[in-house]
Amino acid sequence: MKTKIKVFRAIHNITQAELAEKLDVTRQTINAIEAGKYAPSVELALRMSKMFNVTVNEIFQLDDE
Amino acid sequence: MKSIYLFPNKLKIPALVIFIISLTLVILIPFEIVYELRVPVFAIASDHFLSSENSFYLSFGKEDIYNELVDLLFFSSGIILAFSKEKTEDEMIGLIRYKSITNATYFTFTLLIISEFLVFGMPFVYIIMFFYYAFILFLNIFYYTKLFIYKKQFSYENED
Repeated sequence: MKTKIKVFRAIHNITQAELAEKLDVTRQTINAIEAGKYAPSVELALRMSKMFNVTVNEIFQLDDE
Repeated sequence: MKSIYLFPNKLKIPALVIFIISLTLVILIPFEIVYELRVPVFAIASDHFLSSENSFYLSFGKEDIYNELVDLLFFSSGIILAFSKEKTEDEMIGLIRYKSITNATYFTFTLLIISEFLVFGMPFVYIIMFFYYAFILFLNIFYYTKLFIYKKQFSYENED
């Protein structure tokens, strides 16, 4: 799964630690998601899309898309 | 979404201290380094090998409860240690805990099955005694090792 969290973080000018704090997860979890090592739950993906004010599809895409 | 119950984070350190102490006491039991704590207890069944004159069923009698106290401390602290919240408890840590339970189950029962075919007779009693304590020990070892690797692996911000 591909993710554009890093891009949206840059747009909103927030660090991994700040994003982690806002989503109530560890910074390591954000890092693992960005590195493509962990696929977040639907709930976390929805909270992330709400935070960045975009759809889930804009943040996460399947590898073949 | 409703998640499973986990113990509060503040119990982690006391549980770790009690777990280490009780694990040491458990290791000392086979070397006969034990205290005798004979107290009146109610027992469903108390029947000791080669000393059946002191047996009693569904009644009160005197029993040494040292091993029971050590077991109580070992299992309760081991469970609290493995199932207490981290400072920031999230779904990734939940996944690590779930993976650790799975790995501990596979590992413990693989060793047990191998032991079944390699150890026969009385020595197998010691194997059973080992596995009685092993699962909770392996669970904690797997969980904290995986947690350490996870924290180490993703501790630095990836800025490629």
